[in-house]
Amino acid sequence: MIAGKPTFTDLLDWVEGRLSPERSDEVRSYVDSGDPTTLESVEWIRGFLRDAEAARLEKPPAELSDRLRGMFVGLHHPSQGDDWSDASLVFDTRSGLAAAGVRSGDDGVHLAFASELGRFVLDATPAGPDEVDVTGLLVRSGDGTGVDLAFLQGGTLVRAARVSRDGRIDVRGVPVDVDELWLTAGTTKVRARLDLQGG
Amino acid sequence: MKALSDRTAREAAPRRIDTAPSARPPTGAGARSSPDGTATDADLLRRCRRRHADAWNQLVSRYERLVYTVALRNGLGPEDAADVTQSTFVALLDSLSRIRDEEKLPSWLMTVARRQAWRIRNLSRRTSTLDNAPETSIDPFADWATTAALHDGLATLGGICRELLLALYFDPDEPSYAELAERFGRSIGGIGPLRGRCLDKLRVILEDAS
Repeated sequence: MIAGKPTFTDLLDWVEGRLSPERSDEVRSYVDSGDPTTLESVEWIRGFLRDAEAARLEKPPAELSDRLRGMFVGLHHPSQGDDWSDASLVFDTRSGLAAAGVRSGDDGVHLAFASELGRFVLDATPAGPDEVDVTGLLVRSGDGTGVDLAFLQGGTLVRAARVSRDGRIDVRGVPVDVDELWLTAGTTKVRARLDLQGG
Repeated sequence: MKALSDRTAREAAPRRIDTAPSARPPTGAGARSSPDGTATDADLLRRCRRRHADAWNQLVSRYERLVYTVALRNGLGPEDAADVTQSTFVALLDSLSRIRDEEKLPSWLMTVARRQAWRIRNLSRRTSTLDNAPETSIDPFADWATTAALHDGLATLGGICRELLLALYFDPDEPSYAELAERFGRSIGGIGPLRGRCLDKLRVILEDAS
């Protein structure tokens, strides 16, 4: 017997098998009657359940969740305590010093640093008014923990990026007047003074 | 809704960061939220631009499972998936002032995560010998566009409806109605009808979008 048109929730309950046998029979009868909008709703519900089943969400490890939450404060306003070390500038093309294997400064600024996290080089090439593209390479001296980068201008975060698994750095459209770079990997934190102007 | 330009956002941003969980509720134009008072993604992005750490934490809570799952579904192990998840959220932080289509944050995150996962997989292939090369038969979401649209639709739906549907249909733990009633402060008998109304709303949103 059909006791009125089932609601969307009735149809959902029916598809999910949540109705009493009597009510389920009533809904089935109505669906079998071929009402187009009811059939469309049933079809949509079944499609949704299929799609949702295929897209179940996995819970990330708690340690990762903590890192993701800490990232915002860490990149904007980290503690400036003893756990920071300074990177040493070992080469700057603008200094006029020639070094074997180091590119000349004809198309930008090329810098090389030594740091607690390893050696890294940065190439800053003009990318538009007051902006540069920064590419480079970090050769890690320790484990392979991911490294986050923060470019700052007057102590304010202006760009953030993550070093790729193979150590590559690629950040496009960095304001040319950034004056500091932070590299953080777990508890290791490195600061580098930057001057990307005048390549 | 127009996002601030990069430079304007930078100049407007205060240096101080606000880490108090509810220290500064959104006001004025930024106060829009779902009917049940839950902040929309656009609200949270605006507050992140103003350096509200609690807004960032809400965004992470909302999307960390999605991003992590995308990485896993693109053939990565847990360690690489964690790396991709962190890279994706760094990219979000970096792009806060440049994201234009704030209503489609889920598909933006999914796209970034998928690209990062591809990079890592390609890197692994280059550095693997034939003997230890990873399986190439990756099984990402069966229908990428459908999954992205579904999550964008859920974001548009927002509020308790989004949370309820995610818990009921996307959480592998499959929480019971009793657990959900406690979580959402509803009666057990109210969960079924509520999920029906929410799913019906989602259907309208998805049909409008398509």
